[in-house]
Amino acid sequence: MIQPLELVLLFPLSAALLLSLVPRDDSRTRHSLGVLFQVAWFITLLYLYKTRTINLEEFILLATQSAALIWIRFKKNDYLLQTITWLIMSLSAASILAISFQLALLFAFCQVLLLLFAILQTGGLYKGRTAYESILFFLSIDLAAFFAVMLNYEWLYWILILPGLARILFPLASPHAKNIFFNCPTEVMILFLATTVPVGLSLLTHAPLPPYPEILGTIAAASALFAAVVFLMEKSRRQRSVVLFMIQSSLSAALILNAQIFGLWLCLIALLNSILWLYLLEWPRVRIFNILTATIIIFCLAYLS
Amino acid sequence: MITTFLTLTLFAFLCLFLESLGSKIGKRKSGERTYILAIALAGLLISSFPLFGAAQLAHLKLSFVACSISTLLALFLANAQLRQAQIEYGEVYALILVCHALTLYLITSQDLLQFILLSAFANMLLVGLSSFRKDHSLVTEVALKYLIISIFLFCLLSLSLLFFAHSNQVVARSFLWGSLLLFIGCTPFFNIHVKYLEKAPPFASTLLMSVTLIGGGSFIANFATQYLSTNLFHFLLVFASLSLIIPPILALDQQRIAKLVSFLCMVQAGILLLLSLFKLASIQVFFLHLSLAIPGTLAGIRFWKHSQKSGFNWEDYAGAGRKHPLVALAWLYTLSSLIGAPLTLGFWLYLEIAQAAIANQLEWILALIGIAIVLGMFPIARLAVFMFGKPTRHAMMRLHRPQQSFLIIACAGIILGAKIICFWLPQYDAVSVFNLWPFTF
Repeated sequence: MIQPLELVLLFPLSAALLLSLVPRDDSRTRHSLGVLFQVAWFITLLYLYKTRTINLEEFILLATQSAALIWIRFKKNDYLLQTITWLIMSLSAASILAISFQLALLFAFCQVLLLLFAILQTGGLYKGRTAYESILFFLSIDLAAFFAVMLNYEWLYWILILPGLARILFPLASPHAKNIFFNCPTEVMILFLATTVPVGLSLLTHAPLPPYPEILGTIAAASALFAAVVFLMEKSRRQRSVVLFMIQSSLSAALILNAQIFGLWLCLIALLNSILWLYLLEWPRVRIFNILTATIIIFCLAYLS
Repeated sequence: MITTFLTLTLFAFLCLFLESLGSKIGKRKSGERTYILAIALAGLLISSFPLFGAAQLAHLKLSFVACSISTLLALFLANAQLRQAQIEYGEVYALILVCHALTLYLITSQDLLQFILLSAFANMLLVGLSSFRKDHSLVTEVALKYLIISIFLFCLLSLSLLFFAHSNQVVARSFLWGSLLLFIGCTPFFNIHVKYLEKAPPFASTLLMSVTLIGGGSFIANFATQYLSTNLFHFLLVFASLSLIIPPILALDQQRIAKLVSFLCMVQAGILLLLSLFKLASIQVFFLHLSLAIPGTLAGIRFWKHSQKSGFNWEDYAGAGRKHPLVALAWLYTLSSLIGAPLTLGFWLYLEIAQAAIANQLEWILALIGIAIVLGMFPIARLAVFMFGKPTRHAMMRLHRPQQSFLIIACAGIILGAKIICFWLPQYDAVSVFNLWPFTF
């Protein structure tokens, strides 16, 4: 019987291939196919969950990821973006369902590499430099974690959690966040958040219990405070949505690493909230709803911590 | 073995004869030489049969395959370059075939005397191949320098033989390993190798790596590791570590892409040493990887040109990826595999080393490998940004041939295929999986 890992690699890759075969000017067919694949993908996920092939956490992560990407698939008719979204999503899903931490890291690196490549194509030399720095940053932390799994030292815990933290935009572990999202098209921002954050959350759930939970709690609280200050200083509306997410993600990271699964749920809601902000950027009334939701989530996270 | 050698020499003479005949009757245009290439390829194929059939050489099968692939690609590169440059010297094919025969002999060499003679002959051929464009002063300089280093190497190996004969084992071992490090271009003895890789034509560079790393590496694996004491082990570990770190650091500062790639190629000497010290069983996969990655990489350097006198600097590659995305991606993948980036066959080799290092309680090797990969990726990521992120400022000349595109893509494709074999079949020993190839005559 086909394994879920193979399925998530085959299904979206086939979708990407079929979409790329549609002629460039035939946006109608591409749109119909995109909707069809999206529905089929949701049904597949439901079936896999119903047959207990994937567990609840994996299902929630994959479903949130697909839900966050609906806007790109249904509304936009960008030829390259449609194809590349499926490709990146397949690697992201493979990382979430990977049978080992090392395999998950390899898929996660591949996913971020492709994503940064897409970002590189969206801008000039400034984006090129950002993508270059980010590729090397992710390579360094992923490789360090990959080899750290092979060894058995207590202090390596901090290296093991770095790839996960960097992907959920934990302020101290993601120096790339500010540059990557600067002048980035909204679709690419959504693509980054929707595909990378679930991978980071999945990597964090695989991590062992922290050797010093107090230190982790202090770092998370300090990071959240730092992100809150940046949020107040930030002028760009688009960047503010990301920084708002950073406040919530840093608090939820501490919960997830202490094996409190409620943190994962709240972080995913925060992710959808930020993506909603980005998508409905021109609607000021929706922002009140966004900030209200974020406040409730932050309050819940702070209370649980 | 002797049948193979005689067949190859015979075909080499045939190539030489036909070329001189072609010159005499006036058929000197590049199109007239296709049949000589066909004869050279036939020679390569026919000579391989007795070699793979020999039961006593079964354990070296993958090394022979690697060497044959290397020569085959060198022949194709030579053909492309001769046509492109409109050069009429014909001894190239003959020299390549003889060089191939010598490398095959080097792989099977079991004693030092045999190795000294064969390596000296092979080096002379490499000097000849590097200077086939006799009108080019830079190439002549490289050939001259390589000649000097070959003579020096011959003297060192002879001294080592002399000390072995007089039972002065410690000095003999030192001389032997010193000369072997020089032969494979280990840090800090890579200077001439880098110059050769940069200036000499790609087919000569491919053969250089084949002779030094496949021929020399096989000798290290078969013979030299028998003379390994604990002190010498640590001494070699230092050289291997330097070879992994120093060339990528020097590559960071290069303006010419050919030189940058040459430095990245020199990392292979470090990987070879580490495999010899920790995981001899995987060394044949390394040879196979090398035989595909080096020609693919070298063919890519000269793929994008703005003019005949292009300097191959960073600006020459701006926008090249947008112009030829598939070839650019394939080339970057081959380069990444050469330095062992994740998701490549090079990374699998590093993983083998890492597992053996943990078993030997040398955990710092893991950090070393991580640093080597990240350092190697610096120039490659920068190259990717230049190729895909920047618009081209020049109208690119179409100086490449379709065969070159095919060669680069095919090399990358086969490396990716080999990586997938290693990835999806972790429960099997990858070496035995490769041995199941249709080479079991």
